[in-house]
Amino acid sequence: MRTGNHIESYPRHISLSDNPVVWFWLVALMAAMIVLPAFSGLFVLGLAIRILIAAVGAIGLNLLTGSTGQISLGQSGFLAAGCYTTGLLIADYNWPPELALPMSGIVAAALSFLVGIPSLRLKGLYLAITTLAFSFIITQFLLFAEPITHGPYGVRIEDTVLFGFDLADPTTMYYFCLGILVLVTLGVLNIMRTRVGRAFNAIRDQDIAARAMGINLTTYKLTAFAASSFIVGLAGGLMAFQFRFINVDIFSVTLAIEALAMIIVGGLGSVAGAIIGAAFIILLPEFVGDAIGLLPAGISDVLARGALEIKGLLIGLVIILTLRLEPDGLIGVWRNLKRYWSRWPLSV
Amino acid sequence: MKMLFRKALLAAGVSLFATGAMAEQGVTDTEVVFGNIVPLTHPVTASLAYQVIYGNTVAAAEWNEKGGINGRKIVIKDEDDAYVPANTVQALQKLIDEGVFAMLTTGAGAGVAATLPILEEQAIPTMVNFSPYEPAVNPVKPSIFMIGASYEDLLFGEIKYIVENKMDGKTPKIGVIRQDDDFGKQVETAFTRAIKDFGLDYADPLTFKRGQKDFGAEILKMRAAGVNILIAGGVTSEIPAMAKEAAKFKMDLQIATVPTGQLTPIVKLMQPTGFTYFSGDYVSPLGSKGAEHFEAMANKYLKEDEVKGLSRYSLTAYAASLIMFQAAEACGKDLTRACISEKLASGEKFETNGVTQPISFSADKHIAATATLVVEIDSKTGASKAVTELMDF
Repeated sequence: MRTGNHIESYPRHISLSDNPVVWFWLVALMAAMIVLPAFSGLFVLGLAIRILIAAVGAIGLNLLTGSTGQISLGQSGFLAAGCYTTGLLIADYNWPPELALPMSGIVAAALSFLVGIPSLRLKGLYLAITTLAFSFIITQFLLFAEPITHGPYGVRIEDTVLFGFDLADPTTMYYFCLGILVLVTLGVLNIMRTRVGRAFNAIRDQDIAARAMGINLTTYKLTAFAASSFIVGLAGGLMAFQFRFINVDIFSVTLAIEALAMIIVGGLGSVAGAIIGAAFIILLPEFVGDAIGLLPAGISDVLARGALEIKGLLIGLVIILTLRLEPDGLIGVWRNLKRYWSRWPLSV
Repeated sequence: MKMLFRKALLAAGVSLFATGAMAEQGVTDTEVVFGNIVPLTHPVTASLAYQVIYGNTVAAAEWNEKGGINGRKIVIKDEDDAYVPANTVQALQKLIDEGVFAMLTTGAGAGVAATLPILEEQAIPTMVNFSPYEPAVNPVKPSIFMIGASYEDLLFGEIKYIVENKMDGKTPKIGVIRQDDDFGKQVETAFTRAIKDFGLDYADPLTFKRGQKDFGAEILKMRAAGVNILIAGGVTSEIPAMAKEAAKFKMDLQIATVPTGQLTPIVKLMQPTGFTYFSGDYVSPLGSKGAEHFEAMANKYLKEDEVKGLSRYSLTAYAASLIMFQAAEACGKDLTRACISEKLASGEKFETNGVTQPISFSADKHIAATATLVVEIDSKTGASKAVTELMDF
């Protein structure tokens, strides 16, 4: 019986998991996700695609905020930049989608230097406000640079065929997003096992001490900004294929707050937490809607009219409760449960 | 015996295949399911969304009482998109999963645009009516139809009326304060067109973010520029917010608004300003002869508080529903999506019980009811009257 962890070698210490049970369940989860389209309709598949894209974006934000400690409220800006890059390159410049999608990440990463460089001397709230201002600049640009961005009219994407697969088909889109999520997850988990990842954590925990240990703050903060924005931009590019019509209304400030909620509720600094948090925040309004439907007619009618406000209230409430009761988020709850189970009957 | 069993299996297979090929989603022997996507939980437009639902409900109830569509009962499923295009797509996917046959409304503005690829791919008959969006029907898409004049035509008609009838010898100078989105852009197009067509003097256009509450700075700029015709390019509460500031500065102003300017809450909010202002429409105003039949039906099928909540959006939704139901009826028992689209595009005239002129589309024109009339609203008394006939611009 497994009663705890005793790691004897460095390779084992940095392995993604040393427990065969974890691998078993991961394979089972992947198998379940692979067969999901066979058992779900358009709506469930649409919801699943939203979760996968949100999870990619949340992992990107988590790399910057959760792992490096740089609070960003500008994610909707990077998301918009990525989304519009892919959309405009395909719609207006006839780029093949195979090239337009990676460009979404590259452009977002390039833009991150605009925020990253002035933000090197900023921390906490000041950095958050700077990044928020950046997202406003991006949305205003998209709205008013009509000759380039189509302004308020939005962009329609007709060519959605990537490597012979048409992403207009929800099942194909689902598998494509799942593939991207797996690649991004593995990529970020690997970054976190390297010197770069440890430098990110050191900057998050105590940047002055990190510098004293020889970590170049400028390089690593900018790397974190660029890597995070690349992933978020990629999520934006996927959104272009998801909706096939993009418009600046999609990228509200609420989106940045929701992204932050995903990583807080899921568990700051954890890749698995970002994925769980994304699923939780996307599914929350659906559960609320269903729960309201179960209430008596009079009450459900009144509550249904305020569903948007209720969603906002619940997201706020969930963040407060998470920070108060389980600062490590849902992934922390999972770890506690796992620890309790594996050490039972000696667990406390 | 084995042979017989094989034949039975084959027959069952053939009949299953035949049923699958013939049955259209959302159509059974007893029911036809229509879908509706409206912003039920958007803070600004939620009330309009309910008004749309009331219009659809009245049309369906009236039709069902007459026996439904060739004996099939009309069922309407409503979904909320909170005025967010991503949600509109999700709502449409949900309705498709739930077996909707055709769409009576698919959100507003960018929401309509976001659903177009799916609507086209699945050839779902759709009536765009909540918020006219020209790209939905231009270029023509086989299954998508729209009723209603553009905001550009509606506002242009009002400005034309104001310039010709309300200036009392003063030199007109026009200004616009408009929302910074696709809706606002259409508003500004009317402004630009009026300047060009009537040679008007003008102040530079001003924009604002959706949901702005205070327009002191914008109105001061308009006053400084000597504007005496203002296009109040907001959707709901922004209109009285602009008028309130203009009244504070005692501006002598003619105000043109989009059709939401006729809504009861807006008229009430306009009351303290004392302005008589204008709105445009392509449906007969409530209380007019054209809306008599609809109002009688609404009194019959809706609850008292729902009747109080009716507006011109109920009328447009009612008209759109009637057109769709008539096209479905014309298909007879073999109701298919292709048939509805074909009937709608056939050039046949569809009656809307006086709410609009008879409506007809054609193969290369999927937009109708584009003629507009100008409505004058006295905010002091709350009375509104049509001051022009329906005209095409």
